[in-house]
Amino acid sequence: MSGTGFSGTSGSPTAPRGAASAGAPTLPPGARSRVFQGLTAAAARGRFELQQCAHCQAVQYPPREACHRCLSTELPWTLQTGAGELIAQTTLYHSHEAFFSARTPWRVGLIRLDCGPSAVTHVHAAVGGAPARVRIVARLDRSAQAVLIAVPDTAAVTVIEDGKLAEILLPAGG
Amino acid sequence: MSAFAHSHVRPARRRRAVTARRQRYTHAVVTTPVTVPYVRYSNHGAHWFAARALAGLLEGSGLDKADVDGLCLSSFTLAPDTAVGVTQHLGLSLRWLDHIPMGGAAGVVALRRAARAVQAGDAQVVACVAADTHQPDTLRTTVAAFSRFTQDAVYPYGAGGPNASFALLTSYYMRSYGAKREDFGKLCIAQRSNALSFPHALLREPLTLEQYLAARPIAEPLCLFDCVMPCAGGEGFLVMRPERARDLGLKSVSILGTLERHNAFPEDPIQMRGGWGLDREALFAEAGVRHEQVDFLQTYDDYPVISLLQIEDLGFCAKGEGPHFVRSHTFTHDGTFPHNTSGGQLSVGQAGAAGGYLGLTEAVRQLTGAVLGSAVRDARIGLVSGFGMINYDRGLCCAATLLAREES
Repeated sequence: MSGTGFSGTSGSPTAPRGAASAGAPTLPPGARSRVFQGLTAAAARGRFELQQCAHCQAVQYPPREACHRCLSTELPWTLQTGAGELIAQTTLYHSHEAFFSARTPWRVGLIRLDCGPSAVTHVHAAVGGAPARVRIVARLDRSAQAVLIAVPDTAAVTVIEDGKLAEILLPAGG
Repeated sequence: MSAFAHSHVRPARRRRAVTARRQRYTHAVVTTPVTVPYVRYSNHGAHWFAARALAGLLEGSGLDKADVDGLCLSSFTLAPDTAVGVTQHLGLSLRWLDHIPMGGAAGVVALRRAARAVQAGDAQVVACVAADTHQPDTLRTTVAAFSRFTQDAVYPYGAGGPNASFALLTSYYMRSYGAKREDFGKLCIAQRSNALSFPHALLREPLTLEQYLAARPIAEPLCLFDCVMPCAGGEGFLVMRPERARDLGLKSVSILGTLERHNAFPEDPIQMRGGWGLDREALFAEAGVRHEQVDFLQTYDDYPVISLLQIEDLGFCAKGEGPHFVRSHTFTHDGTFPHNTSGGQLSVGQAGAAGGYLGLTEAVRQLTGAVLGSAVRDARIGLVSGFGMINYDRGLCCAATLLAREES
């Protein structure tokens, strides 16, 4: 299954915007834990970093207060290649948040990173159906929080090329 | 790295583990299944549904409120209260109290906890209750703040909630094991057929395969009838010593065995198996039961794929053979492999944590000849399975119990 209703979309969606067009602009969910801010700080600099245990080297995601393997609390944020595989995907036709329900259908993937953990991500329109090799990049969404995006593992794909994704992100340099 | 930083990580001393032999559940039975009728939306709070469940337990058993000295409570909508606040809210003076935030595993886990408390004499009568309300924004607020990991790493990606999580599992399962939408549809339709006579089912119109397949998409490949309908309601049962149940004239079931496992197989890239597989042999051995002796199975069924995982992991077929198993059975109460005989959550509705009790109360009714809907003929042994809490990308809590009709 490739992202039905997603591929080929670019620019502003033509579908009714629902709450988004009625009044105040909506935002994607902005609540995150304090530890998660490490990911956001790196994404603000265009980097995809995850906690890597200084003691046993385990890479983990979602961010934690301690290493899930050895319980060390020394967890420096470490640059990752983001290489992995899209192992499953879905296209949402329903969302609990107005920001996304105005933008359905919306594609979501589950990526198994080569460095270990699995990550739920947005999926770039140029990524084929599962299974597919991908690279994860971290960007700031319109709530100025990091989100992960699976892009094709071929070089030089910028997120902005996918208009629908670009629309949920903070403008570059913003 | 300073020595101080890792003073808490000591090299493991290899010692031979001393393991205690598990005791059988010889001095506790389950009785008085109660359902607080489900409604799609309610203006009442969760406490109201807990109160109605407790009142039902007292009315059904003939016990006085003061006779209940233990409470096991599960709810998603009690906040800011927990079970502690409920003791004062409902005027209960207890000497044993437990709050079990395990969603779909809550029923079986409550039974385990309560049975041990009764067996040990820490409590004489434990009321096990799951109760939740449902208002128009309840689901969104519950899902948005469900867990720290979902808040950080799932909810920001389209806010699809459990629909999205189970869509990922379902699509992976279909690709890995050749399941078709028709296979999931068959389970949903069989459950709907079971629900037609179940008075508490909110969805009680027959469902055809054509309707199932033509339903609007929710999170591909899941469509409307793959997803539970959230609602308000409550479920409860009592756990007490068998002689107490006899004195009260109550029909009861005995507990042959149980299992409970959390965060099994954490290294799996995606959840294609749950903790049942680690402990099912011990469960059946403890119970002295073979699979072919099980007269019905109640799975936790917020989405049909998870019923297939339970059927496989509980050992009714091998991993990946779920689709073939589905094609080989009817799953109706009067057919082969009776499954979710009340209609399950997919037909009755998902009343929050009460969804984790639904299979248990139905099993107790089936085994005590007190069915509200359709009876499984000559049912003597039932298996109830629980599954709860998509903390991030998978459900963490797995539980199961084998229950048997009390021989008089």
